[in-house]
Amino acid sequence: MPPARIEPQIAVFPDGTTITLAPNQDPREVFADWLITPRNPWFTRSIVNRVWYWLLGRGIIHEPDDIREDNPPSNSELLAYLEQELVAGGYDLKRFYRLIVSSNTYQLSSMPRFNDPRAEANFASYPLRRLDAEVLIDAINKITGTTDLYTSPIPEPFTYIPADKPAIAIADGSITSPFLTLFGRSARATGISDLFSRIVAVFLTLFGRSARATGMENERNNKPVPAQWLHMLNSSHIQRKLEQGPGLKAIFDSGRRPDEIVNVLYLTVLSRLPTHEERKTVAEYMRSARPRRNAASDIPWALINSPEFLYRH
Amino acid sequence: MNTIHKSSGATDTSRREVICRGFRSAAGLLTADYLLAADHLLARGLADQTRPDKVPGRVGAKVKARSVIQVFLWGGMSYIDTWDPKPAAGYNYMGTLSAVIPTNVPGVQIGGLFPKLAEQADKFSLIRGMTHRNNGHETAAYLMQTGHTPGERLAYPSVGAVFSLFKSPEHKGVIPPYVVLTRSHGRFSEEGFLGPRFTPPPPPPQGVIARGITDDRQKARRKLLTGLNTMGHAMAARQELANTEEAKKQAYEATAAFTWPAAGP
Repeated sequence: MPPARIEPQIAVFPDGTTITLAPNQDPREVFADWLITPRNPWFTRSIVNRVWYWLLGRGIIHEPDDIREDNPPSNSELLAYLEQELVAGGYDLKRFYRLIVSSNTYQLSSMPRFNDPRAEANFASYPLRRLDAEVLIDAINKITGTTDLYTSPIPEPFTYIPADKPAIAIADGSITSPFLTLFGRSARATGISDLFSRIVAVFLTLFGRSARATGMENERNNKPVPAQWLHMLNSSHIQRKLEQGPGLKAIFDSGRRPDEIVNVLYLTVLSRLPTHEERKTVAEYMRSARPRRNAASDIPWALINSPEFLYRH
Repeated sequence: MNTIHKSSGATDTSRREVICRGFRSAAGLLTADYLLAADHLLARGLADQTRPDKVPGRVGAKVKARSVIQVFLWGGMSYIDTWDPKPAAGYNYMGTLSAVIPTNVPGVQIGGLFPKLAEQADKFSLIRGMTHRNNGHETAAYLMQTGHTPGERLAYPSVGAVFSLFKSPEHKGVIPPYVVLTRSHGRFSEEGFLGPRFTPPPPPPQGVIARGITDDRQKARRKLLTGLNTMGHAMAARQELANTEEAKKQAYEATAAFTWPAAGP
């Protein structure tokens, strides 16, 4: 049977204009080209507001999913300026990110400066936000030198994400089950029962990862709930990483003096040196811990459970 | 009711054990509510079976489902070995599990593996007339849970989320109308385009008990955590941190009901 003749397709853009798609044309490319033309004001406004929201925790139009005539931006001059800049830069998002992160506003301290109710909407200080689910587990894995195995049952055959791929690189919203691996090997290969794997299957969901069923920002939920703390403070998933992770072992078994170990640990977890007070508190804990090896997991445990680690600030 | 949820894992604790050990005292805590809800739903489901109006002989009594438990087997047993045997089809079709047994409902036979269930066939309904001709686990599961074939433009909600949509207005209580145990099934148990209001809460967390962490060590490291919380102390006035501290306090209240014995010999 000869192949069916493929007819050119008529497609309609959201603004009502029509276009004829050639048989060899990918409609997604045509749509993407339409999306980033200056005569499409909706996309420019929405993406500008979203990038600002991602970087500063609050949209100039708040909420970022709620763009409509009667929900005005808190600073329309700022929004208009950013829209102009994005268009002028040929929709180069990297350039656009640079513009925002090099601004004084982005670089403000997170220490609140004003007690004014309008401060938040006007970006008076850098907002505190808990690390997103994927970023949080990636940071813990980086510090401890461990990995988690992510799998997806869609499509069959099941997908196993390579161990060296971080959670932030998972493209598919259906991959919601981080199964525990010890240092890159699968749970099954290390003889850990499926039961144990299931226990840690919920991290990304628990910490509010978006399922990406819609394009809405509010699908991601970063609200703090007790169950997240139970996992961070007490779960065997995290405890194992702290006790057995080669990253921490390398720090504590390095043969360095105790105060140098504490310096390296602080630099690794919080990217700064400890204060005088913190140094004293840690030294006291190291002296009193019984058995002494507990200190090697308890001190990093305390640091990863501090808001300084858990929050962007 | 049996302790059928008792897990043998070295790292977690059964819901039943949690409740027996006094978790109820952590009132208002979502996780606790959640755990209780799980047992409550199961207990209620079993209790319904023994209610007088469900006993044979009182057919016609008005019975209304108050809750629904969906047990979804990801590629479960073959129907010909279990609920819908075809004894007349012969060995080539039925294989070694060809025995069938009559049930206490005249005219209904089930696979020979289920003698106890055969005695209670008046208490369950079988649907034998349905098929979907879809032989991929994930696409078939999506079809079963959402009623839509995969590949449509929208991510459709699962049946539980739809239930939640219609029952939410009349629903009272802190436990959402739709919960998923024992773990989330991703797209197959989620809210799809209905949005986050209908997301089932995450399954019960681990961490109510930290196995192997003695009570003394738990106290010592909690004190350490407070001692090293330099930024938290500096920014105690920030609402974001107050919220997270409150959540942490509730988490610790949940764990306070438990003490783990000091390290053994």
